[in-house]
Amino acid sequence: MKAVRLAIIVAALAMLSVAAARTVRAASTVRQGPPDCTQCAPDVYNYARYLIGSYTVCFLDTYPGNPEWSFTEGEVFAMAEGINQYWNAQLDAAGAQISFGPFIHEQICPSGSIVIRRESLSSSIEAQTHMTEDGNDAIIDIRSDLQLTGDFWKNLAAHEIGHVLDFKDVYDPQCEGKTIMWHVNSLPWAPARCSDSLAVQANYQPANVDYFTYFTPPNCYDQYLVYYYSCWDGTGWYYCGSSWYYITTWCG
Amino acid sequence: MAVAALIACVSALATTAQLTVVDYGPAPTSLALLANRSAAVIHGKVTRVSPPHLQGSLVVRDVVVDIAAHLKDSRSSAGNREIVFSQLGGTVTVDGRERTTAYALDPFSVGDEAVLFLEASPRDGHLEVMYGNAGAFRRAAGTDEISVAASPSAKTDFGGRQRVPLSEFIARTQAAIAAASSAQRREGTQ
Repeated sequence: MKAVRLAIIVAALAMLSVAAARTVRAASTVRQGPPDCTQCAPDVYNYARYLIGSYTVCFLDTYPGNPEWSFTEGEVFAMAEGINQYWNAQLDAAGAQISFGPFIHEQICPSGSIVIRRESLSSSIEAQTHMTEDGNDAIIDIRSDLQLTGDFWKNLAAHEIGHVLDFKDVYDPQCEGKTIMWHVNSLPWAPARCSDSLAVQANYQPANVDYFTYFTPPNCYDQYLVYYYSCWDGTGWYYCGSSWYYITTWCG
Repeated sequence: MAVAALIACVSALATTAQLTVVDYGPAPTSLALLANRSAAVIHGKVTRVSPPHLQGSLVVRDVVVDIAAHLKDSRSSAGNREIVFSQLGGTVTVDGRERTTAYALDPFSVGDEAVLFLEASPRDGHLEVMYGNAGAFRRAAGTDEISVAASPSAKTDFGGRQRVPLSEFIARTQAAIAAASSAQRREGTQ
């Protein structure tokens, strides 16, 4: 299986069961604030419901040196700054247990990271984001020949990461300029907007999220036989290694 | 050395689902610019819409349009009475994995009539509506008018009106295409 996301180790001898904490975000629509902020706060898909922790953001150079399939350092810097300034600051202010970074510029991205890469897209499309339920391995495709100035790279990256955070595009004409999720990249850069702060609070503030709900996904489990080795150093036993052997996959 | 055998259950919730969201760039502010960028501009009525299916990494529906008028068509199939374009949006399950593409264009239904500005996808050549709703000018139900509200050209070409008569819209589109084409010719001769 490609992505091992949660481990529940059932220790037959110690009878120890550990479930990893996952974010189970309530479908919260709690929003309070000035009318503009409330009206323009982006809705959520209720799709990316299990975000938690730090997400490495990897700018991928598919063909290094080819400007249509790689990013310049300036582009990477602008996008990283956009994501960091916009979302990390607001997530941090809300006390959310989610952050984006480190930002890396690579030819091969590590598994689990959010990948930002250039892709062959139709000329009227600027970008497309493939979201995943827990944020791992999300992919942001940016049109290969897209040329923008610094602030618009910031806007674009912050907007697409907004999708990774589950936020929908906003089309209400009265909301132009009032949310980073405005549906086209035409806004002057602003490091925060009250609509988005409100959306972050509603969806990711700990008071609105069951952060410590123990979550057991209802899908499949791989079963392994695990040998834990303990070694004697003359004074006591200490852990000195393990071997894992795949047995079967169980679904239920 | 002591060995303790444990049974470990590791969840293998491999990425079982994926949602794709498509973001368009800012649409041109006039019909002339929009026409200039399009591979085809047609006026017609939707006769069939396929179930959603996967096309590359996106879920699409094939929308078949019976053409009433070719306003522009630079493709080799120009002159056909039907045109098929891919409309983004829908959900399919492939190999047990759910794939969804969010609607970036209000879905078309059989019987809908519209003037469509289309472009060819660089991946596979399929036609798509440019700029989502800003490239699809629909006839308002029960009227002889075209809704231009979703397009920036509503301001520049139509003085801020939300709907214009179909005949006026087509005449303006034809004029815009002719102007764009003569501008291109001038550029070509210089």
